[in-house]
Amino acid sequence: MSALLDYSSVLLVVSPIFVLALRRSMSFALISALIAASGLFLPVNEVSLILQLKGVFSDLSLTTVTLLIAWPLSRVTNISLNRPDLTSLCAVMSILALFLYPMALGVGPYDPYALGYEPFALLTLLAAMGIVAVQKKCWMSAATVIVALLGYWLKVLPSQNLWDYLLDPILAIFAISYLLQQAYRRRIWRRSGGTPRSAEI
Amino acid sequence: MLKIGLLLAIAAIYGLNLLTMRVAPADDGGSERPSRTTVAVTTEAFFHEQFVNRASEGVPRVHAPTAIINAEGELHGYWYGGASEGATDVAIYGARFDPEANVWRDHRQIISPASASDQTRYWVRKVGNPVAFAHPDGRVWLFYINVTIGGWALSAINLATSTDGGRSFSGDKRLVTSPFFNRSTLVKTPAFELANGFIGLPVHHQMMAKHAELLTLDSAGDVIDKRRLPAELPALQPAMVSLPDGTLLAFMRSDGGKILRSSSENQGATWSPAVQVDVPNPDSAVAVVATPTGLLLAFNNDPKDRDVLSLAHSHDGGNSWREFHVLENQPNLHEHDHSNEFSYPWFVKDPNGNYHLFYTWQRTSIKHVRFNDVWLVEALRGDG
Repeated sequence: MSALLDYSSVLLVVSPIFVLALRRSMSFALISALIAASGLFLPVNEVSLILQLKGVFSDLSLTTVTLLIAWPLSRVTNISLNRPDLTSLCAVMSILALFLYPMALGVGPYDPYALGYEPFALLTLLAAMGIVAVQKKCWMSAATVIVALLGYWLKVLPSQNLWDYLLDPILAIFAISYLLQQAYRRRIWRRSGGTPRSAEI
Repeated sequence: MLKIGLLLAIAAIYGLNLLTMRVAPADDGGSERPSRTTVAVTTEAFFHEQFVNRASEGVPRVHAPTAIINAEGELHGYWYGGASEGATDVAIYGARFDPEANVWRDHRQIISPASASDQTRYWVRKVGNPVAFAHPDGRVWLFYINVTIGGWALSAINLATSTDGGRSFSGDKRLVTSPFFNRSTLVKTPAFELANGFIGLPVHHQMMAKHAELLTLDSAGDVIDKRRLPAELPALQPAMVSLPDGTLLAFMRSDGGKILRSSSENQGATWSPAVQVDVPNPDSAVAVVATPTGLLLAFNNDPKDRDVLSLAHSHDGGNSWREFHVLENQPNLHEHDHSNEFSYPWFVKDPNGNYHLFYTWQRTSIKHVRFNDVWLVEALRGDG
Protein backbone atom coordinates (compact mmCIF):
# COMPACT_ATOMS: atom_id res chain seq x y z
CA MET A 1 0.00 0.00 0.00
CA SER A 2 2.76 2.42 0.99
CA ALA A 3 4.68 1.50 -2.17
CA LEU A 4 1.60 2.29 -4.28
CA LEU A 5 1.05 5.58 -2.51
CA ASP A 6 4.68 6.37 -3.21
CA TYR A 7 3.55 6.98 -6.77
CA SER A 8 0.19 8.59 -6.01
CA SER A 9 1.42 11.72 -7.82
CA VAL A 10 0.66 9.78 -11.01
CA LEU A 11 -3.00 10.51 -10.30
CA LEU A 12 -2.38 14.24 -10.67
CA VAL A 13 -1.76 13.63 -14.37
CA VAL A 14 -3.67 10.43 -15.11
CA SER A 15 -7.05 11.31 -13.53
CA PRO A 16 -7.64 14.55 -15.50
CA ILE A 17 -6.44 12.90 -18.73
CA PHE A 18 -8.76 9.93 -18.16
CA VAL A 19 -11.78 12.17 -17.46
CA LEU A 20 -11.09 14.34 -20.51
CA ALA A 21 -10.53 11.34 -22.79
CA LEU A 22 -13.68 9.66 -21.50
CA ARG A 23 -15.71 12.23 -23.46
CA ARG A 24 -14.67 10.30 -26.57
CA SER A 25 -14.85 6.69 -25.39
CA MET A 26 -13.97 4.37 -22.54
CA SER A 27 -11.26 2.55 -24.48
CA PHE A 28 -9.71 5.86 -25.58
CA ALA A 29 -9.72 7.00 -21.95
CA LEU A 30 -8.05 3.81 -20.76
CA ILE A 31 -5.36 3.92 -23.46
CA SER A 32 -4.72 7.63 -22.83
CA ALA A 33 -4.40 7.06 -19.09
CA LEU A 34 -2.07 4.10 -19.64
CA ILE A 35 0.15 6.06 -22.03
CA ALA A 36 0.25 9.04 -19.65
CA ALA A 37 1.12 6.81 -16.68
CA SER A 38 3.87 5.03 -18.64
CA GLY A 39 5.27 8.31 -19.90
CA LEU A 40 5.74 9.53 -16.36
CA PHE A 41 8.32 6.82 -15.76
CA LEU A 42 10.46 7.93 -18.72
CA PRO A 43 13.60 9.85 -17.79
CA VAL A 44 13.96 13.49 -18.79
CA ASN A 45 17.44 14.87 -18.08
CA GLU A 46 18.26 11.53 -16.42
CA VAL A 47 15.43 11.82 -13.87
CA SER A 48 12.04 10.22 -14.47
CA LEU A 49 9.07 12.57 -14.72
CA ILE A 50 7.39 10.89 -11.77
CA LEU A 51 10.42 11.61 -9.54
CA GLN A 52 10.36 15.20 -10.77
CA LEU A 53 6.64 15.40 -10.02
CA LYS A 54 7.19 13.92 -6.55
CA GLY A 55 10.13 16.25 -6.01
CA VAL A 56 8.01 19.30 -6.74
CA PHE A 57 4.66 18.34 -5.19
CA SER A 58 5.86 15.91 -2.52
CA ASP A 59 3.31 13.31 -1.36
CA LEU A 60 -0.41 13.80 -1.87
CA SER A 61 -2.75 13.63 1.11
CA LEU A 62 -5.10 10.66 1.27
CA THR A 63 -8.02 13.05 0.85
CA THR A 64 -6.61 14.21 -2.49
CA VAL A 65 -5.90 10.61 -3.52
CA THR A 66 -9.49 9.65 -2.66
CA LEU A 67 -10.89 12.54 -4.70
CA LEU A 68 -8.59 11.84 -7.64
CA ILE A 69 -9.83 8.22 -7.67
CA ALA A 70 -13.48 9.12 -7.04
CA TRP A 71 -13.57 11.70 -9.84
CA PRO A 72 -12.92 9.31 -12.80
CA LEU A 73 -14.89 6.55 -11.05
CA SER A 74 -17.94 8.78 -10.83
CA ARG A 75 -17.70 9.43 -14.55
CA VAL A 76 -17.32 5.74 -15.40
CA THR A 77 -20.18 4.60 -13.17
CA ASN A 78 -22.38 7.62 -13.95
CA ILE A 79 -22.85 8.06 -10.22
CA SER A 80 -22.35 11.79 -9.99
CA LEU A 81 -20.69 13.19 -6.93
CA ASN A 82 -23.19 14.61 -4.49
CA ARG A 83 -22.73 18.39 -4.88
CA PRO A 84 -23.69 19.43 -1.32
CA ASP A 85 -21.38 16.66 -0.12
CA LEU A 86 -18.47 18.00 -2.16
CA THR A 87 -19.28 21.57 -1.16
CA SER A 88 -19.27 20.61 2.53
CA LEU A 89 -15.99 18.76 2.14
CA CYS A 90 -14.44 21.73 0.33
CA ALA A 91 -15.74 24.12 3.00
CA VAL A 92 -14.16 22.10 5.80
CA MET A 93 -10.88 21.70 3.92
CA SER A 94 -10.80 25.43 3.13
CA ILE A 95 -11.29 26.35 6.79
CA LEU A 96 -8.56 23.90 7.84
CA ALA A 97 -6.22 25.20 5.12
CA LEU A 98 -6.78 28.84 6.08
CA PHE A 99 -6.03 27.89 9.69
CA LEU A 100 -2.95 25.81 8.88
CA TYR A 101 -1.02 27.32 5.99
CA PRO A 102 -0.47 31.00 6.87
CA MET A 103 0.99 30.17 10.26
CA ALA A 104 2.86 27.09 9.04
CA LEU A 105 4.41 29.22 6.31
CA GLY A 106 5.80 31.60 8.89
CA VAL A 107 3.13 34.07 9.99
CA GLY A 108 3.51 34.37 13.76
CA PRO A 109 5.38 32.37 16.35
CA TYR A 110 2.96 29.42 16.47
CA ASP A 111 2.98 26.57 13.95
CA PRO A 112 -0.32 24.61 13.99
CA TYR A 113 1.37 21.84 12.00
CA ALA A 114 2.65 20.62 15.40
CA LEU A 115 -0.97 19.73 16.29
CA GLY A 116 -0.75 16.86 13.83
CA TYR A 117 1.90 14.98 15.82
CA GLU A 118 -0.21 14.47 18.96
CA PRO A 119 -3.49 14.81 17.17
CA PHE A 120 -6.09 14.13 19.84
CA ALA A 121 -7.98 17.32 18.97
CA LEU A 122 -7.59 16.80 15.23
CA LEU A 123 -8.59 13.13 15.43
CA THR A 124 -11.67 14.03 17.45
CA LEU A 125 -12.61 16.75 14.97
CA LEU A 126 -12.16 14.32 12.12
CA ALA A 127 -14.22 11.59 13.78
CA ALA A 128 -17.00 14.10 14.52
CA MET A 129 -16.86 15.25 10.91
CA GLY A 130 -17.18 11.64 9.78
CA ILE A 131 -20.19 11.01 12.01
CA VAL A 132 -21.96 14.14 10.75
CA ALA A 133 -21.11 13.15 7.17
CA VAL A 134 -22.65 9.71 7.63
CA GLN A 135 -25.75 11.19 9.31
CA LYS A 136 -26.17 13.61 6.41
CA LYS A 137 -25.48 10.82 3.87
CA CYS A 138 -22.45 12.71 2.57
CA TRP A 139 -20.70 9.53 1.48
CA MET A 140 -17.75 11.26 -0.19
CA SER A 141 -16.90 13.19 2.96
CA ALA A 142 -17.38 10.08 5.08
CA ALA A 143 -15.12 8.07 2.78
CA THR A 144 -12.33 10.68 2.89
CA VAL A 145 -12.52 10.80 6.70
CA ILE A 146 -12.39 7.02 6.99
CA VAL A 147 -9.50 6.78 4.50
CA ALA A 148 -7.55 9.54 6.29
CA LEU A 149 -8.12 8.00 9.75
CA LEU A 150 -7.30 4.49 8.54
CA GLY A 151 -4.24 5.67 6.61
CA TYR A 152 -2.94 7.57 9.61
CA TRP A 153 -3.41 4.57 11.86
CA LEU A 154 -1.53 2.35 9.40
CA LYS A 155 1.02 5.14 8.69
CA VAL A 156 0.86 4.50 4.95
CA LEU A 157 2.56 7.82 4.16
CA PRO A 158 6.16 8.70 5.15
CA SER A 159 4.73 11.28 7.56
CA GLN A 160 3.80 10.81 11.22
CA ASN A 161 1.67 13.95 11.08
CA LEU A 162 -2.11 13.69 10.67
CA TRP A 163 -2.25 16.95 8.69
CA ASP A 164 -0.33 15.27 5.86
CA TYR A 165 -3.01 12.57 5.60
CA LEU A 166 -5.81 15.09 5.56
CA LEU A 167 -4.69 18.08 3.56
CA ASP A 168 -2.16 19.26 0.99
CA PRO A 169 -1.76 22.54 -0.88
CA ILE A 170 -3.26 21.13 -4.09
CA LEU A 171 -6.42 20.14 -2.22
CA ALA A 172 -6.48 23.50 -0.44
CA ILE A 173 -6.27 25.37 -3.77
CA PHE A 174 -8.94 23.11 -5.30
CA ALA A 175 -11.30 23.47 -2.32
CA ILE A 176 -11.05 27.25 -2.16
CA SER A 177 -11.36 27.58 -5.96
CA TYR A 178 -14.40 25.28 -6.00
CA LEU A 179 -16.15 27.32 -3.31
CA LEU A 180 -15.33 30.58 -5.09
CA GLN A 181 -16.61 29.13 -8.37
CA GLN A 182 -19.83 28.02 -6.65
CA ALA A 183 -20.33 31.44 -5.10
CA TYR A 184 -19.69 33.17 -8.44
CA ARG A 185 -22.19 30.94 -10.27
CA ARG A 186 -24.84 31.48 -7.63
CA ARG A 187 -24.36 35.23 -8.01
CA ILE A 188 -24.73 35.02 -11.81
CA TRP A 189 -27.85 32.85 -11.53
CA ARG A 190 -29.38 35.13 -8.97
CA ARG A 191 -28.85 38.10 -11.28
CA SER A 192 -30.34 36.23 -14.23
CA GLY A 193 -33.25 34.96 -12.11
CA GLY A 194 -32.46 31.33 -13.00
CA THR A 195 -32.20 28.24 -10.83
CA PRO A 196 -28.81 27.67 -9.23
CA ARG A 197 -26.96 24.60 -10.38
CA SER A 198 -23.83 23.41 -8.68
CA ALA A 199 -20.50 23.58 -10.43
CA GLU A 200 -19.25 20.53 -12.23
CA ILE A 201 -15.90 19.08 -11.39
CA MET B 1 -27.44 -0.58 8.02
CA LEU B 2 -24.75 1.17 5.95
CA LYS B 3 -24.93 4.18 8.24
CA ILE B 4 -24.49 2.07 11.36
CA GLY B 5 -21.59 0.20 9.78
CA LEU B 6 -19.82 3.42 8.79
CA LEU B 7 -20.38 4.99 12.21
CA LEU B 8 -18.94 1.91 13.89
CA ALA B 9 -15.98 1.97 11.48
CA ILE B 10 -15.24 5.63 12.27
CA ALA B 11 -15.49 4.97 16.01
CA ALA B 12 -13.25 1.92 15.75
CA ILE B 13 -10.52 3.64 13.69
CA TYR B 14 -10.69 6.71 15.93
CA GLY B 15 -10.22 4.48 18.98
CA LEU B 16 -7.34 2.58 17.36
CA ASN B 17 -5.63 5.86 16.50
CA LEU B 18 -5.91 7.07 20.08
CA LEU B 19 -4.60 3.75 21.42
CA THR B 20 -1.58 3.82 19.14
CA MET B 21 -0.62 7.46 19.64
CA ARG B 22 3.09 7.66 20.35
CA VAL B 23 4.39 7.59 23.91
CA ALA B 24 7.90 8.79 24.69
CA PRO B 25 10.26 6.00 25.85
CA ALA B 26 11.60 6.16 29.38
CA ASP B 27 14.99 7.75 29.88
CA ASP B 28 17.45 4.90 30.31
CA GLY B 29 20.36 7.20 30.94
CA GLY B 30 21.81 6.80 27.45
CA SER B 31 24.73 4.58 26.49
CA GLU B 32 28.43 4.89 27.06
CA ARG B 33 30.84 5.46 24.22
CA PRO B 34 33.75 3.05 23.64
CA SER B 35 36.96 4.38 25.05
CA ARG B 36 39.07 4.32 21.90
CA THR B 37 40.61 7.74 21.65
CA THR B 38 41.01 10.06 18.74
CA VAL B 39 43.68 12.22 20.29
CA ALA B 40 45.89 10.98 23.12
CA VAL B 41 45.05 12.05 26.67
CA THR B 42 47.51 14.65 27.87
CA THR B 43 47.81 17.07 30.74
CA GLU B 44 49.89 19.38 28.54
CA ALA B 45 48.07 22.23 26.88
CA PHE B 46 47.73 21.73 23.16
CA PHE B 47 46.26 23.78 20.37
CA HIS B 48 46.70 22.55 16.82
CA GLU B 49 45.40 23.83 13.49
CA GLN B 50 45.32 22.05 10.15
CA PHE B 51 43.28 21.84 6.98
CA VAL B 52 40.94 18.95 6.32
CA ASN B 53 41.12 19.66 2.60
CA ARG B 54 42.45 22.29 0.22
CA ALA B 55 40.76 23.68 -2.83
CA SER B 56 41.06 21.36 -5.78
CA GLU B 57 40.29 21.77 -9.44
CA GLY B 58 37.12 19.73 -9.24
CA VAL B 59 35.90 21.20 -5.97
CA PRO B 60 36.97 24.85 -5.85
CA ARG B 61 34.46 26.00 -3.22
CA VAL B 62 33.65 24.27 0.06
CA HIS B 63 31.41 25.17 2.98
CA ALA B 64 29.48 24.03 6.05
CA PRO B 65 31.67 21.43 7.80
CA THR B 66 30.24 18.89 10.22
CA ALA B 67 31.92 16.08 12.15
CA ILE B 68 31.27 13.17 14.49
CA ILE B 69 33.17 10.78 16.69
CA ASN B 70 31.82 7.38 15.72
CA ALA B 71 31.22 4.41 18.04
CA GLU B 72 34.81 3.24 17.44
CA GLY B 73 36.19 6.61 18.47
CA GLU B 74 37.12 7.70 14.94
CA LEU B 75 36.72 11.31 13.88
CA HIS B 76 34.90 11.75 10.56
CA GLY B 77 34.27 15.08 8.87
CA TYR B 78 31.86 16.07 6.08
CA TRP B 79 31.20 19.25 4.12
CA TYR B 80 29.73 20.31 0.82
CA GLY B 81 31.69 21.46 -2.19
CA GLY B 82 31.37 22.35 -5.86
CA ALA B 83 31.71 25.21 -8.32
CA SER B 84 29.87 27.57 -5.98
CA GLU B 85 27.24 27.54 -3.26
CA GLY B 86 23.99 26.23 -4.69
CA ALA B 87 25.52 25.03 -7.96
CA THR B 88 24.08 21.80 -9.32
CA ASP B 89 27.52 20.13 -9.18
CA VAL B 90 27.66 20.57 -5.42
CA ALA B 91 28.06 17.28 -3.57
CA ILE B 92 28.73 16.25 -0.01
CA TYR B 93 32.26 15.10 0.71
CA GLY B 94 33.85 13.35 3.66
CA ALA B 95 37.18 12.32 5.14
CA ARG B 96 38.55 10.47 8.18
CA PHE B 97 41.11 11.78 10.64
CA ASP B 98 44.14 9.58 11.21
CA PRO B 99 45.28 10.39 14.78
CA GLU B 100 48.55 8.45 14.43
CA ALA B 101 49.74 10.53 11.49
CA ASN B 102 47.69 13.62 12.33
CA VAL B 103 46.34 13.83 8.80
CA TRP B 104 42.97 13.61 7.11
CA ARG B 105 42.58 10.60 4.83
CA ASP B 106 40.04 8.84 2.62
CA HIS B 107 38.65 11.98 1.01
CA ARG B 108 35.63 10.93 -0.98
CA GLN B 109 32.29 12.04 -2.34
CA ILE B 110 29.47 10.87 -0.07
CA ILE B 111 26.24 12.18 -1.61
CA SER B 112 25.42 13.88 -4.91
CA PRO B 113 22.08 15.21 -6.20
CA ALA B 114 21.85 12.15 -8.48
CA SER B 115 22.47 9.66 -5.68
CA ALA B 116 20.01 11.53 -3.44
CA SER B 117 17.33 11.36 -6.17
CA ASP B 118 17.92 7.63 -6.62
CA GLN B 119 17.83 6.87 -2.92
CA THR B 120 14.91 9.04 -1.83
CA ARG B 121 12.81 8.60 -4.99
CA TYR B 122 12.26 12.37 -5.02
CA TRP B 123 14.02 14.56 -7.56
CA VAL B 124 16.91 16.44 -5.92
CA ARG B 125 18.51 19.26 -7.90
CA LYS B 126 20.92 20.64 -5.30
CA VAL B 127 22.31 19.54 -1.93
CA GLY B 128 23.89 21.47 0.93
CA ASN B 129 24.53 21.85 4.69
CA PRO B 130 25.41 18.35 5.92
CA VAL B 131 24.82 17.69 9.63
CA ALA B 132 26.33 14.50 11.04
CA PHE B 133 25.08 12.81 14.19
CA ALA B 134 26.54 9.80 15.98
CA HIS B 135 23.42 7.99 17.12
CA PRO B 136 23.70 6.36 20.56
CA ASP B 137 22.96 2.96 18.94
CA GLY B 138 26.13 3.14 16.82
CA ARG B 139 24.67 4.33 13.52
CA VAL B 140 25.78 7.60 12.00
CA TRP B 141 23.09 9.84 10.61
CA LEU B 142 23.86 12.45 7.99
CA PHE B 143 21.19 15.08 7.49
CA TYR B 144 21.52 17.40 4.51
CA ILE B 145 19.33 19.93 2.83
CA ASN B 146 18.10 19.47 -0.70
CA VAL B 147 16.41 21.72 -3.21
CA THR B 148 14.16 20.71 -6.09
CA ILE B 149 12.80 24.10 -7.16
CA GLY B 150 13.71 27.61 -6.09
CA GLY B 151 16.46 28.55 -3.66
CA TRP B 152 17.50 27.51 -0.15
CA ALA B 153 14.25 28.84 1.34
CA LEU B 154 12.43 25.99 -0.44
CA SER B 155 14.70 23.29 0.96
CA ALA B 156 13.72 20.00 2.50
CA ILE B 157 15.87 17.79 4.71
CA ASN B 158 17.13 14.35 3.73
CA LEU B 159 18.58 11.78 6.09
CA ALA B 160 21.21 9.23 5.07
CA THR B 161 22.34 6.46 7.40
CA SER B 162 25.68 4.76 7.91
CA THR B 163 26.09 1.44 9.64
CA ASP B 164 29.87 1.38 9.17
CA GLY B 165 30.81 4.27 11.39
CA GLY B 166 30.33 7.03 8.84
CA ARG B 167 32.44 5.63 6.02
CA SER B 168 29.52 5.08 3.65
CA PHE B 169 25.88 6.16 3.66
CA SER B 170 22.73 4.76 2.16
CA GLY B 171 18.97 4.55 2.64
CA ASP B 172 18.52 8.30 2.15
CA LYS B 173 15.01 9.43 2.94
CA ARG B 174 13.25 12.77 2.93
CA LEU B 175 12.06 13.95 6.34
CA VAL B 176 8.50 15.23 6.36
CA THR B 177 8.62 18.53 8.22
CA SER B 178 6.18 20.92 6.60
CA PRO B 179 2.61 20.84 5.21
CA PHE B 180 3.50 23.06 2.25
CA PHE B 181 4.87 20.57 -0.30
CA ASN B 182 7.28 19.59 2.49
CA ARG B 183 9.28 22.77 1.90
CA SER B 184 11.28 25.35 3.83
CA THR B 185 12.96 23.43 6.61
CA LEU B 186 16.74 23.74 6.72
CA VAL B 187 19.38 22.17 8.93
CA LYS B 188 22.84 23.40 9.92
CA THR B 189 23.48 22.84 13.64
CA PRO B 190 24.14 19.61 15.58
CA ALA B 191 21.47 17.12 16.57
CA PHE B 192 21.52 15.80 20.13
CA GLU B 193 19.91 13.17 22.31
CA LEU B 194 16.97 14.35 24.39
CA ALA B 195 16.45 13.11 27.96
CA ASN B 196 13.54 10.91 26.79
CA GLY B 197 15.74 9.02 24.33
CA PHE B 198 14.45 10.74 21.21
CA ILE B 199 16.75 12.81 19.00
CA GLY B 200 16.45 16.58 18.84
CA LEU B 201 17.27 18.18 15.49
CA PRO B 202 17.51 21.99 15.51
CA VAL B 203 16.27 23.40 12.19
CA HIS B 204 14.88 26.62 10.85
CA HIS B 205 12.02 27.74 8.64
CA GLN B 206 12.84 30.30 5.97
CA MET B 207 9.73 30.99 3.88
CA MET B 208 7.82 34.24 4.54
CA ALA B 209 9.58 34.57 7.91
CA LYS B 210 12.63 33.03 9.57
CA HIS B 211 11.92 30.91 12.62
CA ALA B 212 14.18 28.62 14.64
CA GLU B 213 12.55 25.24 15.28
CA LEU B 214 13.29 21.96 17.01
CA LEU B 215 12.30 18.64 15.43
CA THR B 216 12.04 15.46 17.49
CA LEU B 217 12.98 12.23 15.71
CA ASP B 218 12.39 8.64 16.72
CA SER B 219 14.94 5.85 16.26
CA ALA B 220 13.72 5.28 12.68
CA GLY B 221 14.55 8.88 11.86
CA ASP B 222 10.91 9.89 11.48
CA VAL B 223 9.83 13.32 12.65
CA ILE B 224 7.41 12.94 15.57
CA ASP B 225 7.27 16.51 16.87
CA LYS B 226 8.10 20.05 15.84
CA ARG B 227 8.30 23.16 18.00
CA ARG B 228 8.88 26.74 16.94
CA LEU B 229 11.03 28.99 19.14
CA PRO B 230 9.30 32.34 19.73
CA ALA B 231 11.34 35.36 18.61
CA GLU B 232 10.49 38.87 17.53
CA LEU B 233 13.55 39.05 15.28
CA PRO B 234 14.35 36.64 12.45
CA ALA B 235 16.08 33.65 14.01
CA LEU B 236 17.76 30.76 12.26
CA GLN B 237 20.30 27.97 12.63
CA PRO B 238 19.77 27.41 16.37
CA ALA B 239 22.84 25.92 18.06
CA MET B 240 21.59 24.02 21.09
CA VAL B 241 23.37 22.84 24.20
CA SER B 242 22.17 21.13 27.37
CA LEU B 243 23.12 22.41 30.82
CA PRO B 244 23.77 19.95 33.70
CA ASP B 245 20.34 20.76 35.20
CA GLY B 246 18.61 19.70 31.97
CA THR B 247 17.92 23.19 30.67
CA LEU B 248 18.27 23.45 26.91
CA LEU B 249 19.77 26.62 25.50
CA ALA B 250 19.56 27.81 21.90
CA PHE B 251 21.85 30.42 20.36
CA MET B 252 20.64 31.68 17.03
CA ARG B 253 21.94 33.47 14.00
CA SER B 254 20.04 36.66 13.25
CA ASP B 255 20.17 39.63 10.90
CA GLY B 256 19.56 41.92 13.86
CA GLY B 257 23.30 42.33 14.46
CA LYS B 258 23.44 40.21 17.62
CA ILE B 259 23.06 36.58 18.60
CA LEU B 260 19.67 35.52 19.97
CA ARG B 261 19.29 33.29 23.03
CA SER B 262 16.33 31.18 24.13
CA SER B 263 15.94 28.50 26.80
CA SER B 264 13.69 25.53 27.52
CA GLU B 265 13.07 23.92 30.89
CA ASN B 266 11.14 20.98 29.45
CA GLN B 267 13.46 19.45 26.85
CA GLY B 268 12.30 21.65 24.02
CA ALA B 269 8.53 21.37 24.47
CA THR B 270 8.27 25.11 25.11
CA TRP B 271 10.84 27.89 24.75
CA SER B 272 11.31 31.32 26.27
CA PRO B 273 11.02 34.28 23.88
CA ALA B 274 14.42 34.79 22.24
CA VAL B 275 16.41 37.78 23.45
CA GLN B 276 19.54 39.38 22.07
CA VAL B 277 22.77 38.76 23.96
CA ASP B 278 25.71 41.12 23.72
CA VAL B 279 27.57 39.13 21.07
CA PRO B 280 27.82 40.48 17.51
CA ASN B 281 26.40 38.44 14.66
CA PRO B 282 26.75 39.23 10.95
CA ASP B 283 23.82 36.91 10.09
CA SER B 284 26.11 33.90 10.36
CA ALA B 285 25.96 30.55 12.16
CA VAL B 286 27.49 30.06 15.60
CA ALA B 287 28.61 26.90 17.42
CA VAL B 288 28.35 26.20 21.12
CA VAL B 289 29.67 23.41 23.34
CA ALA B 290 29.65 22.73 27.09
CA THR B 291 32.96 22.93 28.99
CA PRO B 292 33.67 21.88 32.60
CA THR B 293 33.29 25.50 33.67
CA GLY B 294 30.55 26.80 31.37
CA LEU B 295 29.93 27.25 27.67
CA LEU B 296 32.25 27.81 24.75
CA LEU B 297 31.10 29.76 21.69
CA ALA B 298 32.65 30.08 18.24
CA PHE B 299 31.32 33.18 16.48
CA ASN B 300 32.08 35.93 13.98
CA ASN B 301 33.02 38.87 16.16
CA ASP B 302 31.66 41.53 13.84
CA PRO B 303 28.08 42.69 13.26
CA LYS B 304 28.52 42.87 9.47
CA ASP B 305 31.30 40.65 8.20
CA ARG B 306 32.48 37.07 8.54
CA ASP B 307 36.18 38.00 8.40
CA VAL B 308 36.81 37.55 12.14
CA LEU B 309 36.24 34.27 13.94
CA SER B 310 36.65 34.14 17.72
CA LEU B 311 36.09 32.01 20.77
CA ALA B 312 34.12 33.28 23.77
CA HIS B 313 33.31 31.72 27.13
CA SER B 314 30.30 32.09 29.40
CA HIS B 315 29.95 31.20 33.08
CA ASP B 316 26.28 32.18 33.37
CA GLY B 317 24.41 29.99 30.93
CA GLY B 318 25.12 32.13 27.90
CA ASN B 319 23.68 35.39 29.22
CA SER B 320 27.06 37.08 28.99
CA TRP B 321 30.17 36.15 27.03
CA ARG B 322 33.83 37.09 27.09
CA GLU B 323 35.91 36.80 23.94
CA PHE B 324 39.24 35.23 24.88
CA HIS B 325 40.82 34.00 21.65
CA VAL B 326 40.84 35.14 18.03
CA LEU B 327 41.03 32.25 15.58
CA GLU B 328 41.03 34.26 12.36
CA ASN B 329 41.21 37.96 11.65
CA GLN B 330 41.89 39.03 8.08
CA PRO B 331 39.74 42.09 7.35
CA ASN B 332 38.12 42.30 3.95
CA LEU B 333 39.15 45.35 1.95
CA HIS B 334 35.69 46.80 1.32
CA GLU B 335 31.99 46.16 1.84
CA HIS B 336 31.58 43.94 -1.20
CA ASP B 337 34.78 41.97 -0.63
CA HIS B 338 33.94 38.63 0.98
CA SER B 339 37.15 36.77 0.12
CA ASN B 340 38.11 36.45 3.78
CA GLU B 341 35.29 34.41 5.18
CA PHE B 342 35.71 32.25 8.30
CA SER B 343 32.33 30.87 9.09
CA TYR B 344 29.94 28.04 9.95
CA PRO B 345 31.83 26.71 12.99
CA TRP B 346 31.13 23.20 14.27
CA PHE B 347 32.27 21.73 17.60
CA VAL B 348 32.68 18.08 18.51
CA LYS B 349 34.22 16.71 21.71
CA ASP B 350 36.07 13.41 21.67
CA PRO B 351 35.84 10.84 24.48
CA ASN B 352 38.95 12.32 26.13
CA GLY B 353 37.30 15.70 26.40
CA ASN B 354 39.36 17.28 23.65
CA TYR B 355 37.63 19.88 21.49
CA HIS B 356 37.58 19.74 17.70
CA LEU B 357 36.44 22.88 15.94
CA PHE B 358 35.78 22.92 12.20
CA TYR B 359 34.98 25.94 10.06
CA THR B 360 34.87 27.20 6.51
CA TRP B 361 38.16 28.89 5.63
CA GLN B 362 37.76 31.45 2.81
CA ARG B 363 35.26 29.08 1.18
CA THR B 364 38.21 27.18 -0.28
CA SER B 365 39.09 24.89 2.63
CA ILE B 366 37.79 23.35 5.78
CA LYS B 367 39.94 24.05 8.82
CA HIS B 368 40.26 21.75 11.82
CA VAL B 369 41.37 23.23 15.15
CA ARG B 370 41.80 20.99 18.16
CA PHE B 371 42.62 21.85 21.74
CA ASN B 372 42.14 20.53 25.23
CA ASP B 373 40.79 21.80 28.54
CA VAL B 374 44.30 22.66 29.76
CA TRP B 375 44.75 25.04 26.81
CA LEU B 376 41.25 26.38 27.40
CA VAL B 377 41.98 27.18 31.06
CA GLU B 378 45.26 28.85 30.11
CA ALA B 379 43.62 30.81 27.30
CA LEU B 380 40.84 31.96 29.60
CA ARG B 381 43.52 33.15 32.06
CA GLY B 382 45.12 35.03 29.23
CA ASP B 383 48.10 32.69 28.78
CA GLY B 384 46.83 30.92 25.67
